[in-house]
Amino acid sequence: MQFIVILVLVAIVVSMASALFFMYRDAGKGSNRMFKALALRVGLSVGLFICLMVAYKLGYIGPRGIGK
Amino acid sequence: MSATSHAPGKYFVPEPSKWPLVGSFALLLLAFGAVGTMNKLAWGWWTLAAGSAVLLYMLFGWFGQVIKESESKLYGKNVDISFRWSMSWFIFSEVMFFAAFFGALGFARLHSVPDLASIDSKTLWPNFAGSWPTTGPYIDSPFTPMGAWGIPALNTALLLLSGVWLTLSHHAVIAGHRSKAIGWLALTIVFGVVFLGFQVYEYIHAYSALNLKLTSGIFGSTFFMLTGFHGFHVTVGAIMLFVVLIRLMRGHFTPQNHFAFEAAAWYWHFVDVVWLGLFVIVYML
Repeated sequence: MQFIVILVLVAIVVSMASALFFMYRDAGKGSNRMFKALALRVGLSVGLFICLMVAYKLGYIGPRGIGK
Repeated sequence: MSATSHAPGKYFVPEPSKWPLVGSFALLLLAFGAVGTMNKLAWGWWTLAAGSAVLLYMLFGWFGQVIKESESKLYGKNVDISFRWSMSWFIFSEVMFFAAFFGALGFARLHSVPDLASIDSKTLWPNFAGSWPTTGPYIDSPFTPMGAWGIPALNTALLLLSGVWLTLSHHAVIAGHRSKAIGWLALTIVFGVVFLGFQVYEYIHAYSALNLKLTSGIFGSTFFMLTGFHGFHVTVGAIMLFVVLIRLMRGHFTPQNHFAFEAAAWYWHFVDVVWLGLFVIVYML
């Protein structure tokens, strides 16, 4: 469980970093690559949070979370 | 400054400015004010407040001047690139800032606390179990750690939703739908402010009901340091987005050219991701 959560967090950080790269690279080109990267990070974040909530409701994780 | 430096294709060089001097004076007042306050001197708070006021005056004046220069079409491609580089370095410094704090928490949890509870330390701390969360071996002040599924989960939902509204606003800017962009961005800011309100409530609850304080050893200091500085960043991000909202309402941005929006939006996404990391690592692990 911890491994999957950390993996998704890393994917979120990578999508954020790519958005930063596109912000620099696509200056004034009218490209929407930065927007797409940020939308991906929002999707991953919301997905992770929903999965954590569902796992808590189903009893897979305790009140202090995934460490217990 | 000669008019030639303002010509198209040239790198814009601004007129000599008072703002760096005003900023230096603000920092001087802030430093003296902070020292005076920490030493409980009568003039400390006043000097700190004066420093904050001068700093706000500088930020308002300097950033306002930059916006005016931008709207006067004085900036070319080179200035645009320099802004993007500056934002990138600022973000890098922010990443390092939070990496140091997360690193401090990780070091304490994975190294210091287990080491103090190890057999080698039994002579010094015979009764220290070393289980997390803990105050550490030498502070006897029992506390209840903040649970993940009350206000923290609600705050996570609020901040993630604010990220969704911001993404919709960003899309509207690119599509040229200004009124939609304004509405979604305003909603983003409202959610950010509500988040801050809940965090204040959480702190009051921690102090009054859980006996969880800044003085609660290693857990209390890392908890309040990480969440407190994050709250400060949410405040700064909300101010940035508010300025961008005003500029959006004044029609400063086009679908092709809206760097200020992009920079503030990226910052907000960053603050959002840091909170998600905090929620998982501080509240859940």
